[in-house]
Amino acid sequence: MADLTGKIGNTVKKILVSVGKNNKPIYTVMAIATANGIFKPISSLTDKKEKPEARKYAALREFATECVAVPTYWACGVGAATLGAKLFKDNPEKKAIARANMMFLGVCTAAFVVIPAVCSGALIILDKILGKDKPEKNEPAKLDVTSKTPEVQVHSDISTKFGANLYRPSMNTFINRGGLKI
Amino acid sequence: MIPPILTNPAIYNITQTTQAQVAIETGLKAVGRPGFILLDNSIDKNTKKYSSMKEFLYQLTCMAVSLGVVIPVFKKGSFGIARKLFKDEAVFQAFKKSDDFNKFRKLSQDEKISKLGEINSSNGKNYELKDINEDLAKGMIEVTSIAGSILGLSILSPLISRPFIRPVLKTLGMGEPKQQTPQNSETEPAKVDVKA
Repeated sequence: MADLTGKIGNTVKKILVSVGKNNKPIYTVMAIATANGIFKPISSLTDKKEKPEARKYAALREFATECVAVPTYWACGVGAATLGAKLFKDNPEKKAIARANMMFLGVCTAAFVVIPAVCSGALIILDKILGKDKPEKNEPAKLDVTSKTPEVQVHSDISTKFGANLYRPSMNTFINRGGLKI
Repeated sequence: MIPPILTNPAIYNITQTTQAQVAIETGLKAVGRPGFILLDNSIDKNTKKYSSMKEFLYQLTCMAVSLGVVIPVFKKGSFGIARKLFKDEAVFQAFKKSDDFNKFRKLSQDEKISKLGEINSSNGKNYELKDINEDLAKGMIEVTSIAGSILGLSILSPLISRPFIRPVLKTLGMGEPKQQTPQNSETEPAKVDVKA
């Protein structure tokens, strides 16, 4: 047991010394993004003021955002650091500083531009998958005024159907009627 | 032509501090994320304004909570924890507070020796400069700051911002945007043309 505690203590000590020698910005931002990916969706799911559907959707969006953020921070930070080291490969003293500074610039670029831009695209895809871009089914039906309806056949010349004497009184009009007979 | 910023030692010192990393990153998020919301053409103007302002206030809350409360508390407590974890380490015995150690780190070699002499005379110990593991002490400060940032940004900020942001947005005259209904939308049902 004492051995195990000693081993854990040594490992912790090594990690602390490593961080103390070079506190890489990607350690901090990736740790925060990972924690955000776990705790922020939980926080959204427990928000009782929101509707259950909205809560689930917000939690999923936050989780997706952090899923994008973690690899982006890593890629931008490490990529920029490698570039910085290549720029000063002949000067070992400046190389270490350039590596650290470029990693920080890479992380800043990721936070400021790359992650919001990638998230905008990724969330559009997520919305399409979840069907959030389509109008809701219970939306009231709109009156269709643009499409053509079948025209009603109206006979303008009624006399052709009923004959020419439609309104011409004849003696038959007055016979077989009830009432006073003269 | 390589910009001198890449090899600037002052920037290097800033990049090595967790507090500065968190402050700059959160500041950039507070500008970048609302900016991208405002650039999104697929949402209407009111929703854009509301969402971007909400995101901006959220990031400001994160920054205030982390930098103002959590990181300083964790930083102060770091040496207390370290003294219990590493009982034999001279650095945690010689310096009671992390601030004292940070001041010591910035001194020149000769100044460090004289400062250590002062500490030895007051403590009755005989520490030498080689006994002081600066990397371990700095690592302890940074790791506790990272832990504090996680607590502040991921756990406390969402809880604190929830009851705080909505009233602030209302005070600013930005109520939650209502969903478009057929009555107020552009696609209002057409009136029946009785003249036709």
